[in-house]
Amino acid sequence: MAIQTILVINKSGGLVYQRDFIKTGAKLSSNEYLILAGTLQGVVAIASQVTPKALQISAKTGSKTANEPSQLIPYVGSLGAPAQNLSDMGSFMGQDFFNESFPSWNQSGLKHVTTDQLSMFLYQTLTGLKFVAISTQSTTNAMAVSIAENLLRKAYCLYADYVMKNPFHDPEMPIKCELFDTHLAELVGQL
Amino acid sequence: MGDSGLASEVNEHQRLQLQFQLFQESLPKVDETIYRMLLNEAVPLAISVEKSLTHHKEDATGQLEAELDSKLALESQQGDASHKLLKDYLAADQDQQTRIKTRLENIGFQLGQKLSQLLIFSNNPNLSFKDMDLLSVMKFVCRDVWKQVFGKQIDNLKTNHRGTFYLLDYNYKPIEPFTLEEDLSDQEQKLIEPFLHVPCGMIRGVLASLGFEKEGQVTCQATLVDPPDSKQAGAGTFTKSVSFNVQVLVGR
Amino acid sequence: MAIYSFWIFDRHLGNCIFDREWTLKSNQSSGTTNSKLNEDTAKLLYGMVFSLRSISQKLSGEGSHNEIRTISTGKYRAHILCTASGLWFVLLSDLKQEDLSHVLRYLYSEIYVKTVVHNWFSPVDFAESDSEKRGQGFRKIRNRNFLASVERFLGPMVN
Repeated sequence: MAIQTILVINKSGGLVYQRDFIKTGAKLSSNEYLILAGTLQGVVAIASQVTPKALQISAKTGSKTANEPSQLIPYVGSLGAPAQNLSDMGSFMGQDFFNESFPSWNQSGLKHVTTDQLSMFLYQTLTGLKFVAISTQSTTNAMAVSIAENLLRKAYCLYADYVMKNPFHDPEMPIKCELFDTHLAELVGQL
Repeated sequence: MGDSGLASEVNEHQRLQLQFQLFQESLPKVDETIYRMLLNEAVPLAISVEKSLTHHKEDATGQLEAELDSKLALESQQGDASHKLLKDYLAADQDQQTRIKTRLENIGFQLGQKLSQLLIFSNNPNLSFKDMDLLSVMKFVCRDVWKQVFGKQIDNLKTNHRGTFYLLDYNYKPIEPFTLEEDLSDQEQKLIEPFLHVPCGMIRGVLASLGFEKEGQVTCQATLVDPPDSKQAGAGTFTKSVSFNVQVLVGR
Repeated sequence: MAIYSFWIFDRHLGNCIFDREWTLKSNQSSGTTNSKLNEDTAKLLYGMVFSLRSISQKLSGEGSHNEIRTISTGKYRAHILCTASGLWFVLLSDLKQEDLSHVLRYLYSEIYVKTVVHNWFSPVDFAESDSEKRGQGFRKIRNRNFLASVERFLGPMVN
């Protein structure tokens, strides 16, 4: 699974970060990426409204047990495990930022799209920030989905570490931060 | 001597069989689906013809208007969709319906006449018209004509040996997928009627070309019947069975 | 195995020509068929697929064809089959179903084609005039054979 592009979309649907990791992929103009971000923002909300009635009914009657456990995303250890020379990656939580399964904040919105050639994964944070990864492999495999979820969560950790701690960064504005760039490239390179 | 004579006879038969097979393979092939669709489309076509004919008759009085109509109407170029024409058939009066059915039966008649020529001329060694008696002709209809047109043989042939025949087809394919909504089976039956006039005409056509050609000598009527229980239980779906009732007046 | 609903859209930009939603997992015959109440949901679903489909086509670059296959949320997964003739078949299932494209293909080739296309009593194009396009269409597939075949095929997958 190779990551073609990573996007970060702010809570109002604006594109704040976009980076291609594969040169051969389709080139979209920056304007097209902006439209894409806006569309995704809308679709996330629509997707939760289309939730089948059968699920709405079972949620109302309180039979939650069936759905709960699957909402926890398993921790994938090997991903992004720091090599020797990368020992400075990580935070006070340890070298790998986190090391246990975590709940998804995105309960009912859009998460994952597959097409003939690509898949797109979407990770939404509690604050409404969205991390999007476009991969060159089309898969609905549960393992691949949780790897992508882990990857994007780590990207979020990097965002917290290097963008949020950057005093020159304006919130909700495009991210121009070299450290974030390099560490994200390292993270993607480890896949 | 006798042995070798028999052997050469078998070889002769085999040779004819092979020749026939090669001839069949050399014929241009038509896709079954397309062919069936075209045949079915004959019904909406007949309805459309009837519609435009009656339209013209009505307009004969006000010719100027008719002329204007034909010049101004854009739809006349395109025509109505088949399912709409079929709805028109339901709304049409008895006379019109009869005229439509007659038209369809004529199409079938032409088809049958030509088809029997084609089948006989193809030198099929399995065909024999030694006495040209009615029963062998009907068997020809059931076996060869039906196989050629519908890809299967008639399932059951009943006769009283005095000119009445019942040809039963337990899954008459052309109309098999035809259904309307849940509670409209009466209309459905009525709509299927014109579709059955084509094969009726075809049977008459084949019979006419084989000597039963006097006006009114052969009548053919088709009705939808329930399939025998054994067939119905197995399939689990409703398959349409058709009974063709052929009356031939013989010995005149 | 669990499926929640099945939808067909025709080529007139958002006309839903068939919808079937099961509301109880335990009951195959529960839920609605061709329901008026589902009109809005159909429009939302259409909009979602339409947007993501246009994104995927953009991302594939020139020349190559990149048709959308599935859309997943935290709760359900939508499987999509877009035919070259402009029909969309959409099936909503739980997340355990990773690929139902064979089911959609069967629905198209064995059920839709056989009971709608080959049915002379049924229209092929469900919009009869321009005013019935772009989501304004109201005609649905209602013929007996189609409904029965869909129930027979999808019913066992509901629970």
